[in-house]
Amino acid sequence: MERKDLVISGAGSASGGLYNLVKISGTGKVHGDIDCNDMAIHGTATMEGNVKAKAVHISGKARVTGSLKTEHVKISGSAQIGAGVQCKQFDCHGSANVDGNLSADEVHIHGEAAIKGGCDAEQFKARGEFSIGGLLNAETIQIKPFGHCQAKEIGGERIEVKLQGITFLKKLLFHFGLTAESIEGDEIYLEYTSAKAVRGNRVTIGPGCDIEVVEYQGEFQCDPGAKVGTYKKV
Amino acid sequence: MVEEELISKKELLERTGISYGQLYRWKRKKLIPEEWFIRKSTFTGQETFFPKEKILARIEKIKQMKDDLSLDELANMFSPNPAAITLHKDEIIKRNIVSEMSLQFYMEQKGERHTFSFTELLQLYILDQLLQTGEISLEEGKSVFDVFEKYYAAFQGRSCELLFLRKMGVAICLLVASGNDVYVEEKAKIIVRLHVPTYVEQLKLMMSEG
Repeated sequence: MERKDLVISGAGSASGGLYNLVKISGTGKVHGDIDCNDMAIHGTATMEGNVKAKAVHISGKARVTGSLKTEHVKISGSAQIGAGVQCKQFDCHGSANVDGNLSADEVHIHGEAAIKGGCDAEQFKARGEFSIGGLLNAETIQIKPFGHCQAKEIGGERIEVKLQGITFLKKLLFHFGLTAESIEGDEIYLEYTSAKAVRGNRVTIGPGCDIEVVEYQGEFQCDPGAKVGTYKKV
Repeated sequence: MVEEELISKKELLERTGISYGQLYRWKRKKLIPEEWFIRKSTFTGQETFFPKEKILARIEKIKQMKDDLSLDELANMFSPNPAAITLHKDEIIKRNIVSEMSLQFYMEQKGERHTFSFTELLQLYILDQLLQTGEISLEEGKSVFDVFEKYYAAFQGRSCELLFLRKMGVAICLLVASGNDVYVEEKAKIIVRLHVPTYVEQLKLMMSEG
């Protein structure tokens, strides 16, 4: 079937279906599932249904009640997705709310993100604020907290949490850091992290950490400015 | 039902010599099903446990095969989804996947045919295994086909179990989502309870070997 463009520039609504380009610059509402090549939202859009697209760019405000399946999604405004997100690359420079699971090859968070379910990725890079309700599972995890980051559990091969570019005054006034129940990985470097348990092969606990239990197989290093309840080699 | 023996994550890593990174990678690639991650609270907080026998066997298998197959190929093998393969009748006999008798029986029921899809083969394979253990009779085997044909698709990749009940000589065949407790009345008896994905896996393994 031939795919046509759907362009809403003022206020309007349309039904879902097969499209080539879906562009909403004003206020738009789409009823039903959408399958399109490109999606660009510059205004306010509500999509009642699931969205499948090759690339999605949201620079306004978008709400999808169903799931989102795409290769590349870039969020510069705000997005709310009612179910899961499955993509190759997830870039969030604004704010994103995902009510389901997020599964991607690469996740970049430069603003804030709230994921109710779990998050799976090969690479997870965050520089901002996020909360993950389930497990954050990625090959490499790099977190630079700019605010409060939170995940129920974290697992992966390399996990690095580093505080960067925060002035002394800001550190005093606001809370920066990461909290998680458990963090498990092969190589772990943590700063300003509070967790119940950290388990890994090579574990380095940096300044500002508060960890109840550390279990390690290879090496363990601890900064004098960190609080570690107990640690043992297993 | 007897409680399955569990193994903690720590113990598992120690015994198998794999790292956290590997375990999480395999989980991400769905080589280890989500339902095997059992969370329990212990005095040190929440800990993850696994069904001991299943996980040890699975990790052993992954370790053996990971040099020959990519992780995605492995994931395919372990997923409960049917493989997209069809096999010819002669091939099935030659590779000794099911006995000739079961094959004959199937064709008597469903008509003569030469190629078999994965789902059809799965029914056949399960029936064959059941017949060989002598737990059910040929006549009862028909109900296995029927229930599979009608309802297996409804599970869509979720794992399910095949239950076979008998009461006063009357047999009933059920397909249920796995992980549920099943209680039956006193006079009835569960003859067979088998985990379908295990058979899917075995079958895929047999097919890929040939």
